[in-house]
Amino acid sequence: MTPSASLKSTEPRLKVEGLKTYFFLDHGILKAVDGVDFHVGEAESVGIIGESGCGKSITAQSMLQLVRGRGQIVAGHAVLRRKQGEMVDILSLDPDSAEMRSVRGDDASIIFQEPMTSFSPVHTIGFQIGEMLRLHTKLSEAQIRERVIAMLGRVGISNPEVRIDEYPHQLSGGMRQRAMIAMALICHPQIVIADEPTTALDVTIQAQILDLMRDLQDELGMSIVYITHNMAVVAENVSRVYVMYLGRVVETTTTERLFKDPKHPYTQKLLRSIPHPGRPVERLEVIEGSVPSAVDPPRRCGFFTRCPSAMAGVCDAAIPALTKVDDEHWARCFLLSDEKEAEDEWSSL
Amino acid sequence: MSGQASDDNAILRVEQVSKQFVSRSGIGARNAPVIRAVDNVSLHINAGETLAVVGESGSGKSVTGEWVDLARLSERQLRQLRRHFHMIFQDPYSSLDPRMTVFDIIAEPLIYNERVSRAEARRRVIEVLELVGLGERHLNHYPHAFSGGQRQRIGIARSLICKPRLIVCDEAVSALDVSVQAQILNLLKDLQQRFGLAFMFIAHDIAVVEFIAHRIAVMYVGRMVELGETRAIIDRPLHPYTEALLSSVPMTDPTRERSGKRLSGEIASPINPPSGCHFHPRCPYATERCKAEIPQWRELEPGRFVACHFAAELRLAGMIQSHTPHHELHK
Repeated sequence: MTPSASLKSTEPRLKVEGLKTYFFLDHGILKAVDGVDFHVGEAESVGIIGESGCGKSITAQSMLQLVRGRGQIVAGHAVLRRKQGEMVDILSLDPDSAEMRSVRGDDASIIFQEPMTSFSPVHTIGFQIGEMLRLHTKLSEAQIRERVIAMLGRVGISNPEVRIDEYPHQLSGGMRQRAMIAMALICHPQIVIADEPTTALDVTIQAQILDLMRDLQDELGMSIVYITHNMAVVAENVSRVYVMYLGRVVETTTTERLFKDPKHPYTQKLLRSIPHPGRPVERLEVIEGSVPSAVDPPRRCGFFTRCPSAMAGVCDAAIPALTKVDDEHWARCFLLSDEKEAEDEWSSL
Repeated sequence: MSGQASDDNAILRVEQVSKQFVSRSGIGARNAPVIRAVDNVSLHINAGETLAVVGESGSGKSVTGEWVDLARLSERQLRQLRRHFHMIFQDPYSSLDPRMTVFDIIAEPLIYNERVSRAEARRRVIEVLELVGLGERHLNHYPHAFSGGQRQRIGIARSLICKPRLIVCDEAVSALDVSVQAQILNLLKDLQQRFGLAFMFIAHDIAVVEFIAHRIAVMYVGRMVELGETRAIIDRPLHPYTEALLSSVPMTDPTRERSGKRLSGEIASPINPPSGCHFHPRCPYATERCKAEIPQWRELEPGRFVACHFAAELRLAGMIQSHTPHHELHK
């Protein structure tokens, strides 16, 4: 399957607009997510890619209102079409309300990077996975047990009727990640947000897990948002990609276009700085410097300090808008368009 | 072992027979310290060479796991060894002591191993800082003031200070962001060319290994299963585990067909490994013989070592080549 084969512009399952999540720190405001738009269609997989500090994980957590501490979603909408077809703006719900809890797990769920810390060590995995059903359905304990065993088997855990009563520490890393996926999928959510779902795993196990996610997606028709720094995981698993840098999407297009014809200087440099398996080179290209701090960032292109094509007086004078290159390709760069990002009440903070 | 033992360039030799690491420092091998090695492992590293050790976690690729058996050596043996081998660790955040300045971090092994004056130490610390792209201005800073890439540079500077001949890089770039990873990989290559350093590069990312390594050793549950030149291993593996590993590598080419071959099952436990060939429960080519008999480590072709009963008969697939020529991406 080529990723673009599944590119169909049905009504999106989830549509995020103008998301801003800030952290109010003692020494300033960390603008972790500063105006992110994306959407994912029914049964579609999209990728959000970026390096650490780009805001991709906070974007994921914001979707389910899991941002805690000094973090606050200050602006934006995330409109989800629920199982029964009604539309709800997740971000308008009270994070602790019954409706938000029913969205989490029943309609949308999240798979975290570190399965070790996602499970409680004092309950069996069966109990923890079953808890989702206890919260979201009226099934009896016997039915719940049956469903959990079936799901554990489905994610490739051998002897599920035995494993269900084991504790997280009794499972290997790969098995725990499978159990995590079972927990995320037990209520047959419409959308799964997978935050680095395979980063901590070995390459053969990673391949198994990604195959499994693809199979389950075909079977259950769910939408998946992959949050990752791994270009290869994106290349193999999603139809469209959003590239994030310093709290914003800087480029978005189909996966094929992104690899073949990247438009943003950051994406171009990024693709050339990674070793591509099967295509060895003598030296890697380097993006000079490192990602600047997102605390009180100046109003300029986030990539200005590292960009080989930066234009003084232009790129450091305003923030470029995400503009259309063509029907399936958008980028945020003054080399492509003069259009500036509009300011709002948060811009001057 | 045949072929390997006669190589005079080797600066580290791990002998299978004796199950010992024998370190040779400089010319001659007087007082060479001896270290217990892992099960059935036998390899050498030449000056100026990068040997990658790949495998899954728990495969003993953490030869480091055994390497840390260094801790069982006597204090004196350890000191002798440390002067010649240095390690760069995976996590640039936890491997530097936050209460020490850059100068103290880098100078520590120097002061420990060699009696140098403070002025001399300072001169040498500045020298290695400049080698890794930092400088005198960083001397009195603490680790928290640096980014991940800069911290890894500090770790590299520390590893260089005693002018080692071999540096063990344990997942040295895997915690870094991709743009920073490129900087560090290039730096390691530069340092190698300049000083003839040898690297033992423990990693799980085959793309990185393909970039940096001259030879690859593949490990599975504490045993080495294959060893050879990087290109040969990647294009034409001889061990079924290597084939499976290569077919699992995600490719950065969205137009490429996905490989159908997938390993099933989990990596075996090193505490209670399967009989015979450790890989047999997951191996698609396994026979009764593989359950019963441990395969011999043999040199099938010059420089190509493998431990599989059927290595000579099997025709295994290498990493699938990309359709996109590489100049398309590396213009």
